[in-house]
Amino acid sequence: MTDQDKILIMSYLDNELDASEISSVESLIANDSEAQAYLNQLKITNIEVDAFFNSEDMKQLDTSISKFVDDLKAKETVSTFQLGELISNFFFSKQLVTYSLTAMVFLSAGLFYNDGTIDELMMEKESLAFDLNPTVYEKQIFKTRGLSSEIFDIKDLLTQTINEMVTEGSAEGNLTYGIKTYVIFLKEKTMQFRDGKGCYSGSILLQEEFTEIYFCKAKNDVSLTFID
Amino acid sequence: MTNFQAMLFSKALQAKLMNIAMSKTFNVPDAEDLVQTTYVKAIERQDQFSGEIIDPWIVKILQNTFIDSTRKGKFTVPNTNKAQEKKRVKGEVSLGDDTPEYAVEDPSQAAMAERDLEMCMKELNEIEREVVAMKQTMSYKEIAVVLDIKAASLRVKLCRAKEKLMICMGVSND
Repeated sequence: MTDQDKILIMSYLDNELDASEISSVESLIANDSEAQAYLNQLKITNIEVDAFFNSEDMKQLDTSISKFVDDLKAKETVSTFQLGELISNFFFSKQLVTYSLTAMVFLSAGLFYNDGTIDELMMEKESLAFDLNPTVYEKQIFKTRGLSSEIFDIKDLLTQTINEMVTEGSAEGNLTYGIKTYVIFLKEKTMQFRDGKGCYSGSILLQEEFTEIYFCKAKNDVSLTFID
Repeated sequence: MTNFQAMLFSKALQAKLMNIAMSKTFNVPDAEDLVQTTYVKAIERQDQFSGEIIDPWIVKILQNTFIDSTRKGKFTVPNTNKAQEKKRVKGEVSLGDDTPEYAVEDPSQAAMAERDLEMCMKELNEIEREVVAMKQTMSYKEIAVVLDIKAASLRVKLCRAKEKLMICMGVSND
């Protein structure tokens, strides 16, 4: 029996031969006792090798590595994909390229502030259904000279109003504060969290001037950012 | 999940890495350490991955990590046939040649039928251990690609490794 025969027998056992080689090896084994013995010796060796790679040690290793890989997978898919996608989609797909770095910091911080678990977050990559109705939400705040009114600034009032608009499901809102009226438009849902909450882009009209805004509503936090 | 992540976190790749790591370290803690380090390095260097198949790239990382760690004394090189290995490293013995390098130096070894496979695996050289480990989860073609060798050469190496094991375990008296 030649070295080539041995290689063919090994390949035969490993199912690595084509049809013509198989018939050749089977013929060799049938007619050569030395080849037959070699085949049996290889079978025993293969069984031992299989046992080594299926030992209790390997099962233990598999358990610990599987856990490690699962943890890594969870961490990587969120940190490198979802958050990256969230931010890149936010900045580029939505044409909000002029959005400032401050806004990015706000966005990242806002995301992580969402109940402390980024697992809660989910990006609807393709199309986000706009989930507000074309109704108008009205809010009126009387401007007084009292101390209590001083604690509010207009941004807080707008944030509160938009939050109420989203809760009520209204895409449009009017905030009357003293003699001024702010008309709020939420135009597009740009991000959605797992619990259905998310972020909206829109604008606020005051005295014939539009200001672009970005509003996010998470489980335990809301944020309003003025783009311009 | 990106394409890279899908390949990296596949169960099939995990099994391959575990087998190779175990064939190098022969103990669970070191194999675990080696595989984990390999994954972390792969993620750190994912920008360098440009191929369609991740196996050759990541196996190379594992191999280099093992070499670095061994140099630093983190892992212990298995008790191999040192003289033979030294000759191989120096290039005095070609892995592809037909010299009967697998003839076990101590004839009594062949008679030790009870000798377990782990001890016999340690008698193999580095590449022989790798091909035996890889064969558990990969085809000849895949192994040849990962090791960047010809299929014919792979068959010779694997056959030689199996013969060494047969002799070491006392399955064959040749």
